[in-house]
Amino acid sequence: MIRFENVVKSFGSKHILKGVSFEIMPGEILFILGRSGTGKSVTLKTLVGLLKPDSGNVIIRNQKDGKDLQVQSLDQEGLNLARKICGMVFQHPALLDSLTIFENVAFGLRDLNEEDKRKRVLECLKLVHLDENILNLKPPEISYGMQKRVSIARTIAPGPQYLLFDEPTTGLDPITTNAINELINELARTLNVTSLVVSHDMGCALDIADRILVLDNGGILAMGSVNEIRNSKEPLIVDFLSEVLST
Amino acid sequence: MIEVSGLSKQFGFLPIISDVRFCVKEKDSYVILGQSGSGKSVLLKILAGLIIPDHGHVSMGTSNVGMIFQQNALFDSLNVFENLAFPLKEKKRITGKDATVKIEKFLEWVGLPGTEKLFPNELSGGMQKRLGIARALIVEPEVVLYDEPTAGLDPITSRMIADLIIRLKKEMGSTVIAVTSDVMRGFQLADELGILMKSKTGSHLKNVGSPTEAKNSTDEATRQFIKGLKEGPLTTEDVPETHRHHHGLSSFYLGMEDDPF
Repeated sequence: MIRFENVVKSFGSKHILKGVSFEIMPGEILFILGRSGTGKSVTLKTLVGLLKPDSGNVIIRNQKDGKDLQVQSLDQEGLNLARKICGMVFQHPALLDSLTIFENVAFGLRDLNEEDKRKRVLECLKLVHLDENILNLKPPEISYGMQKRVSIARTIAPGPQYLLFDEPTTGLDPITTNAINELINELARTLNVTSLVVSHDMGCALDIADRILVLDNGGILAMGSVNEIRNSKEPLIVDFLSEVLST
Repeated sequence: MIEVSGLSKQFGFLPIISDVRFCVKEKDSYVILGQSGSGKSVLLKILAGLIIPDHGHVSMGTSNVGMIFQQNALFDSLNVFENLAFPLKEKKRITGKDATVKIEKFLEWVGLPGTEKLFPNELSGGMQKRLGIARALIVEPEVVLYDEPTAGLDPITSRMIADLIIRLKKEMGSTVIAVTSDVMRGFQLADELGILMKSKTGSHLKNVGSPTEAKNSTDEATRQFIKGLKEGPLTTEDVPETHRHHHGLSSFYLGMEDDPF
């Protein structure tokens, strides 16, 4: 479970989050949609402690021991734990170009011996539908879609309890978009992880989300199931829905 | 009339585009869609003269060509006014009051009146895009090249930017070539479309006609691309041939979202 309680965040005179409260239920895929600049990424960064809220609480439950972590008051050790629990997939793959695919995926597995490390890397590559023949290649030697998959494999390798995706399909062509969306859905179901996806893409949300939260003007404009959002009469949501390709 | 014939380009052993050919009528808008890594931006940069093709010919019919970059390429240390004054002075030798009048007119056109003193980092993504467009158009190019003009913008802002591009094209009577991976926006912007289809010998451009013709196309690859279908002749994720045969060849595969530059 992840919970935001009345979270406020401003940058100078710009009020980005004006008291945002919501909860992500175990095992669900929650999409946060909204226009550019409405605080979607700020929400994600607040969750992993990259930004500190001005007020309010951000709580992550560690499912291993049932303890709640109050992100805003964690010390460095606590933040490291929170970031281990929450695996983040960035908008761009952010792979280390000088390392091989194996080394990239194994990056967060330093505690494992070589044999277990290799086993885990292969397991994760399989989960993202990549073959072991790319293990010795470097990121620039594989396609962008494959790099996206490798970055997801790297994120799931240490076994996070929550997966956070920042604009996972932005700038991708329709075929790659659908493939990545399908993968997010598949991983959430296979690994039984809770997933939070920040996106502009209403089409992707309608396809795989359990619930959708729409941020606007610093607050929550709507939150509900795919059907509830699909039937919303809120002008912004209607506008977003009209953008879903109907070809 | 813009005529492109037989364009090919490869980086090292890796073919990027192969035998690309298309024509764009004067004052029309031609949109090039394509898979990630299919060489769309490389093609646009060839049209802009920033990359020399290995083979083929580009006839733009004019040297007065403007380009709007994906990341806007604004000068962060200059304010809005100075960003627009720069190309006027450098390309047209227009300064002083004449420049001020023109800058005010263009800011009005792109919906940014009164922002002269703001710096790029004080503008939203959509506003920066408008400023990037104003900066390219202020020297009144006859042909305007747009590289992913709506990438990273939310759908509503992105639709507004596309509307702006169409309106400015009409007002200025320019010819537009745009590359994008956003099919919806491609349909909105285009009079005619082409799709760069990836292939092991370099991407080929398939001209698919008007947006209506593209939507109703019975061609399997066109339908697969437009609908984002998994099954079909187009493959997205394959280890490039180059690396199967030339391991350790360095990092020439473009694979990335756009191109290696």
